[in-house]
Amino acid sequence: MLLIVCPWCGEREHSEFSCGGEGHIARPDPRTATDEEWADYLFMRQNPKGVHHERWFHVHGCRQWFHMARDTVTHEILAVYGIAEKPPALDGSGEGGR
Amino acid sequence: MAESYLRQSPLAHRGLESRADGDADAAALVLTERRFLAKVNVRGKTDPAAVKRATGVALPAEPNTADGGNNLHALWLGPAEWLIVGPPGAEKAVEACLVEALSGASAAVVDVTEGRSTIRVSGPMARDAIAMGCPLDLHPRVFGAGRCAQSFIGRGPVVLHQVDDGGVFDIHVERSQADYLWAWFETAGAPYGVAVVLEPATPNWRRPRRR
Repeated sequence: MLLIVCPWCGEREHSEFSCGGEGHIARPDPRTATDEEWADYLFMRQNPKGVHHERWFHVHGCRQWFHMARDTVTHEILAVYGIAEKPPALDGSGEGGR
Repeated sequence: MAESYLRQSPLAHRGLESRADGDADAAALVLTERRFLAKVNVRGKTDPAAVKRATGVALPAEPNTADGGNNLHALWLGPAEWLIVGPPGAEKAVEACLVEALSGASAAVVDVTEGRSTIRVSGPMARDAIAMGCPLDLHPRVFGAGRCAQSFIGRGPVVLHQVDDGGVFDIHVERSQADYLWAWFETAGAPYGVAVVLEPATPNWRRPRRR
């Protein structure tokens, strides 16, 4: 069970949220992208062991999307930040993005 | 909108009127169906002063809070979304007032009266009973009077609103899940005693007087 700090609603239980997968995936220009680039954009994901930047959706709350940096090994939530924001510098304090 | 003469409560088959003679003072959990409350959803860029002038209630800016005024409650649902709840039959008038007040703004006003039912939960065990099925932190220090939140109770999504300091909660639930939620509360409160109380008639909503 994770306690997730929604940027709007504050601390809520994991069960109110839905994970939207990896964040910050840049969409290539479909007019110029090769099939390989397009396939990479559509299907290939990082699946790292360690810090992962993901999108989350507060589906049973304010129904807003946001980003979260989570350690996939320890489940520690390193930062929570807006859906349009770039990943913040992580100092490991766990307080980032609030 | 459903024609008003066809309107039927999703709890109608439970025969609440015949059950409403229990001892509400002795019961730990008191359930009341707040039938056909007016509900209007407001989204978008709104002018808070214009809304307050038009309806008598302000749209709260702080997340997960509710404001009350002129027989209405405005509940924060999202960064640009509110639910306005009023007495039965007020939905068309409130909607018209808001449409007028927000004309020209990039906003949407939708009558969602038929979409949700409202169950009022009160009594000394109300908070504990809700906490049995709800992941919110319901400690009075965190969730007190004038707080609202969207979450779920049991398996059903709800909008929870603490109306006053006395531990009275209004739960707005999808109409199709009202019966499920009612049954859930009957089960949750069974060991402590559940009473059903009918809602007294509520005053009609009036548009605030213009200056």
